Amino acid sequence: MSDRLLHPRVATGLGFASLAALVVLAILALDVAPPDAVQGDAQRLMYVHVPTAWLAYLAFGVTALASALYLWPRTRSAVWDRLAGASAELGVLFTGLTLILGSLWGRPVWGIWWAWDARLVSTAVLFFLYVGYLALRRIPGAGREKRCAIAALIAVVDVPIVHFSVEWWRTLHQQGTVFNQELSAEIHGTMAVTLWWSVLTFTLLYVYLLDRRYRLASLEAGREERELATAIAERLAEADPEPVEAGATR
Amino acid sequence: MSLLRETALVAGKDLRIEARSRVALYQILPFGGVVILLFAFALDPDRGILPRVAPGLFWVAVLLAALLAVSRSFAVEAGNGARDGLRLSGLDGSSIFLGKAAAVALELLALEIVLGVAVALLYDVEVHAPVLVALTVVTATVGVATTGTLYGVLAAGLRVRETLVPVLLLPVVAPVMLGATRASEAAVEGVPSEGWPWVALLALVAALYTGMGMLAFGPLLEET
Amino acid sequence: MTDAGFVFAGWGIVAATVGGYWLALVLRTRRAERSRP
Repeated sequence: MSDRLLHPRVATGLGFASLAALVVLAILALDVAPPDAVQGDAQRLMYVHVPTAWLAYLAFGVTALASALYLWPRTRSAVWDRLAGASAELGVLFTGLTLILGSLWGRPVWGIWWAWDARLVSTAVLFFLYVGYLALRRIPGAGREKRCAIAALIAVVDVPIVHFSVEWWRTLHQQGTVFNQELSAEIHGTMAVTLWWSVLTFTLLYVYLLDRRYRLASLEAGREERELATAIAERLAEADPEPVEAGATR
Repeated sequence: MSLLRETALVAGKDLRIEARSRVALYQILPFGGVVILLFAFALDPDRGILPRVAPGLFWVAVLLAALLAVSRSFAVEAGNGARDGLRLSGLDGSSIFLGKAAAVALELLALEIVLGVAVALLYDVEVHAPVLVALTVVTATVGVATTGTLYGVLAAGLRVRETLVPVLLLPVVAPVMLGATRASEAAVEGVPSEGWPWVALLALVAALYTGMGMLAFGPLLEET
Repeated sequence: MTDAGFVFAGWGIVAATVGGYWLALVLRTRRAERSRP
């Protein structure tokens, strides 16, 4: 069953489960959880910002892993290529959201729309790496899968280097970045539960969307093949309009 | 043939082509020069900003010129089935990679010497710690040349090569930019001790991408 | 903008983007399935 990742019933169930979980999250994050002592209500953005950041890196990890599996001769298969592409598309989506949400959070809390610390800069570079990868995926031709796979692996090596070098360069807080702050031991009770629920919810959402995107990629690959076959058949028919009888010579 | 002989062969070929066509000399170097000038227009020399931002601007100009140098490195093989010739030559993929990267690196080094002098004079910058500067320049250049050559071959046969390589390459060489600028700043401010750690980072990145290039170049060349 | 404004803007953008992406997937999948023999 290489044209989808999950059994159809599982996929549908997961879709509904994600939706329900999201509704629960919204209630928890926007109503039940208390406002933060320092950040006020703006802290509620963390309940979407943290999970989208998690997904940004998870999706990229999946793309990198799938790319490696594609390149390894024993496991080479179109499945990995399609998975890499699907995950990358989700990755761009969630990385973009992470940056926007981070900015929306930073304005009321830090007073600025952007800061040049390791976490933010790494995420911005990650965004551009993804976008470049997707641009590469759109280019047809022989060796496309291999090209994209190698590009993904080069990029995945780059991400920790960027993070490390920027962190070395400057940080906004002594204690580390946004991410560390929010997951520090000081979060208790409802806020901690909501945060973990948000990560779980978005992970379910990611798997569901990944399966859907993968399924679409399989369908479109099948359609391309059929369109190609049809075009070839039409061309052959053009070149040979009169049917040749058995035994006849041209 | 040994890796070193093959590398020298390929590098020699590229450099000889440059010696005859003089594209780097008459096109890429002037491009770098104009970029340096334009920065001065953008930043108003009377405000005293230029000396402070000189290291960063220098490396941006080098990076932009490197895009052209990499593009040129693969353009020379675009016609007359030259790339097929390279594939069929029996040369090892790693050697071709090292040779092409070395040629690009040497061209960039020459460019950096000229641009560096220009920046020092035009932006009124005094450079101390010449050893730091030299090692920064070498490690950063190797990093950019190897990464550029790797993406160059990845895009080699594609019609969108010219617009694709920049968008792929620049995010990946961001750490090189960062390290080179910080190390250069340390040299300009006369505190070389702050620069050496960055040179270490540059050397690490250079080694990493050299290794990756040696592995990936051959397979990528097969696909072009 | 008050803090609440930022919060609703953020959540709204997430809902709109993810929802829009999901919808696009559904529509494209339907189109691709229709062209199947």
